[in-house]
Amino acid sequence: MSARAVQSWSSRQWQSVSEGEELPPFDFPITVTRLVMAVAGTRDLYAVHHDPAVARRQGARDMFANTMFFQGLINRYLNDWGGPESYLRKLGISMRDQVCPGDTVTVKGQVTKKYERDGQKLVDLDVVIMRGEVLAVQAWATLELV
Amino acid sequence: MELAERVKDYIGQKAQPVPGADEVNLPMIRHWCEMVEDANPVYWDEEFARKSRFGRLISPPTMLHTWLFARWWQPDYLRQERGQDPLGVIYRTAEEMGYTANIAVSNEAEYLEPYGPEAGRIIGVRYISEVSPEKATRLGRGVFLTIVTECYTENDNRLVGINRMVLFKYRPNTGSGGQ
Repeated sequence: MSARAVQSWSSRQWQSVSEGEELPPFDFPITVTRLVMAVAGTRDLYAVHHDPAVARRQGARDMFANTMFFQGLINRYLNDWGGPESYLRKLGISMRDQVCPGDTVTVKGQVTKKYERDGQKLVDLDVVIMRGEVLAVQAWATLELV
Repeated sequence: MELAERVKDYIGQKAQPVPGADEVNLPMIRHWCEMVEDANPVYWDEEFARKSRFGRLISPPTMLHTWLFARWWQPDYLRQERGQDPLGVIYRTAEEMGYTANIAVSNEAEYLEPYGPEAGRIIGVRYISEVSPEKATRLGRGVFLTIVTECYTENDNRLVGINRMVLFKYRPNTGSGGQ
């Protein structure tokens, strides 16, 4: 067995968060391979997500990423910020434009509200996924913090 | 006649509970994590997960829809006849009206409780809560359907999530398939 550095994980404290706080943005390049991983990861085998000809017949530029891929990306983005003991309680997403191979997406988020409910320490966030200057996904989330 | 009128008896009617194809399992959780490069140790590191507030390895909450997918192929001898499904009636009627293309417009999910491999399969109880009048969009003319899915665990019957998806079913503008 090889020795490896054990990463120390800590979760963001709800007390330390303020409304209006912006999360660090991050970039994620989308390739054909990434969309194939999205098929493997989500099991969404609808042809528009892996067959460019079918996608174009339906009016899209190319094969495009599925909704669950973006749910997973936002789930990851919020846990990266909130830490491993944060838990996504609600996620709404609205698909505004398709994301195809060759695009790079940028995920950005901002805390809009901080409150407690039923013993849970919660924050609401607005999240967007941009494809360059184009809004690809608009999302709204509730994250439980510790 | 509009779709909503043709299928009005089926709107709001719940389908029989349908289990997803496979139990919540770690290999599929890892495939999902690879997709978005999610390093969260509550999906990867058993010891960390056990000491965490979740007490065990869990699934990304957003995987609910993946757990609910039916198989894309299965042997005939495993196929089960289900009774008349209100969602199936609505989809079939929509397709007969030429709304053959589908695109997810928006989705809102509430994740009520963490769940992991102890759940067994996820059982979905689905219904269509709303059907819009026909609308014109840049993709084509079509209808917006709101599909609600209540998600229960097989082993302890916990309601772990509720999903509301808006689907646009339409006649494509391009190609020769539309009218």
